[in-house]
Amino acid sequence: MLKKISTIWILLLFALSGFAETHVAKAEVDFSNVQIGDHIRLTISLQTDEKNTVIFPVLSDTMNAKIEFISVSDLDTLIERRSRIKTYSRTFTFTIFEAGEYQFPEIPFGVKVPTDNEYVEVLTNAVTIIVEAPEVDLEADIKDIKTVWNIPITFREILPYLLILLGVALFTFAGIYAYRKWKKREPLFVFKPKPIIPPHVEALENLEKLRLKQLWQNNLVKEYYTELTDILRIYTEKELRINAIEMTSDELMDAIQNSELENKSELLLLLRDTLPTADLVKFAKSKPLPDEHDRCFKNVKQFVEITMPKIEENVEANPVLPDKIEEEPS
Amino acid sequence: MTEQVDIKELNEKIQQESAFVDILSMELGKTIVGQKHMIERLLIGLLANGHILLEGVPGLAKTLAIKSLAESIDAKFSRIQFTPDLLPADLLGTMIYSQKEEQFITKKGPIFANFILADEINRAPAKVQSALLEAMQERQVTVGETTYKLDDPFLVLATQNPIEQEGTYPLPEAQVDRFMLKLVVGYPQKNEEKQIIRQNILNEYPKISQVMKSEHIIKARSLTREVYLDEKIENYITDIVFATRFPSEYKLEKFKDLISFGGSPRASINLALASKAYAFIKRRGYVIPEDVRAICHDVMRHRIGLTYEAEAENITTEDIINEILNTVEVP
Repeated sequence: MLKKISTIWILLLFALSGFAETHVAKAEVDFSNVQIGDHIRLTISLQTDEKNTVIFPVLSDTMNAKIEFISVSDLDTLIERRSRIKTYSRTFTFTIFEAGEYQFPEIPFGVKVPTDNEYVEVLTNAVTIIVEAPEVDLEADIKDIKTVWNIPITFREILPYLLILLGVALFTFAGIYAYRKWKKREPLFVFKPKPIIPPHVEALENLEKLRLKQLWQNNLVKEYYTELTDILRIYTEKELRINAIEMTSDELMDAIQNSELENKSELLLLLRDTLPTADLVKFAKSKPLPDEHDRCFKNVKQFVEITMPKIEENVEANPVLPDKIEEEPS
Repeated sequence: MTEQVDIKELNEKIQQESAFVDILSMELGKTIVGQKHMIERLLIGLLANGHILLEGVPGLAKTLAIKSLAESIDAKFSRIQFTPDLLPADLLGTMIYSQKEEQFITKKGPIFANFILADEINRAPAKVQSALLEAMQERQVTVGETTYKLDDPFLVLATQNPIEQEGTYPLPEAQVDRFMLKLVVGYPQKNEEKQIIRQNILNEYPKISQVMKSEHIIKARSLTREVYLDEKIENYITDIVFATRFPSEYKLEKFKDLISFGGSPRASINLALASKAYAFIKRRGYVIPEDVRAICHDVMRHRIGLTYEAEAENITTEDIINEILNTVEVP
């Protein structure tokens, strides 16, 4: 007997649990009393088990001729972790321009439980709203319609116009300039080439500058020979097309020896008299006598004079040529 | 003025002390036909206290040159043939139990000599190579719990064969860096080869005589260190080494993707030391740019890492060093 009663109770509990599956649909507005033209936000939502399939209602634009549909939000879903209840919600925005009482009817959701084949209709509650017209003081004077407000113009607004104006001005100016040049039969742009200083002129100028610096006279012998050999190497590289800057003294002398220069034996004598002395000063703390400084200077100058191109007449007309180099003061 | 006198004095001193260079070269020339470059570099290693790695195909007198150098100097010489089954203890020595003395005694290995010829170094496994290279760097060896200082002069001359790479253990970059110079030994000239044939056919093998003592080497070494190295030359050396590290800064953008790593500070140190030794051999008390350029290839060739791009384009470290020397300004 007791067994029978227990079985009935269990069956009853199962049956109740099947019926206990609830779906809660809800409709609510943010304000139930609004003024004419105010936005009314109607939020409809449904709470149901997350496993269920839901058809969200589509509200018709012509729900009521006096209710104007404005916009609809995206579908929002929220799942409660413990109960696994899912909430679907969406907000519709309307407006009404006539005073009165309006009612949003019950809105149907379609819900299908996984074990069932058919959708169950779940209705929201109906929502009533009251639209009020503004109070009009009939005794007050009739006022004119307000004029349009003057909003100040910002720089950002006028910038495109300014740029267009500037572009037009530039284009016009360029056009006039081009036209004038064309009329005078002149080229549009004239680039003044940088005067090219011949390597020998540059070398002789630098030698003159070195002489005026009076380095060895001020006990700066190493600096004197460094600059002197630099002038020689730079000149050789530019004028004789020998990579003298990256060459050692021996390599430079070998290069001159193997070159096809006319006076190479004479040039070699000058180099042999200068470069080893310079190397000794630069790398071995040697301090030659003043006569040797003078001789090395003259050797380098002579090297330049022998190897410089023989077009003195033309070169002398060049305004960048230095004046005659004075003799080294002893 | 005193500085000038110092250099003059040093020059004179070097003129006197470097006389052995010619004698030694002549003595080595008795057995080695040609290979002047190799003999000169061996002397540089000897004077600069730097180990040398010789690379060349078999039969180019690499072993003979080193053996002859050791024989011409009153010094202890050891030859170690590196094989795949060699163990560090075979090289350094080990502790053995003496039944007579009833205790462990140290049996020193062949590394305890003045000149070590490590023949075909790349045939031994990494642990043996490491043992040798550590001894080269530290100049001391620990057997058991006792550390033994190696004899002075201590010079390791290792050979390696660039072909027959199968079954070899190539030296890692970090270990190759410990060699001051890496020499690439080339074939002799035609006339030199003829002379070699004659010598061999007639069975005339001149005997090397001892022409100097190890004390002379130590004295010459200290004098080599005194050779004057101007700041300009120091700048030149650092420029060369930096050009291998940051080629773009030296108008060598084309090498940016070809060099994976440049010379280490050890490269700068060894370039300076080897330049001093080269100046000493040339009987000069000061270093000139020619010395740096002369020795640069041998010091730098094993210290520049090439990328796959460089290998694909058949660009060698020799090409890179040549271009660097042709681009870096000479002081």
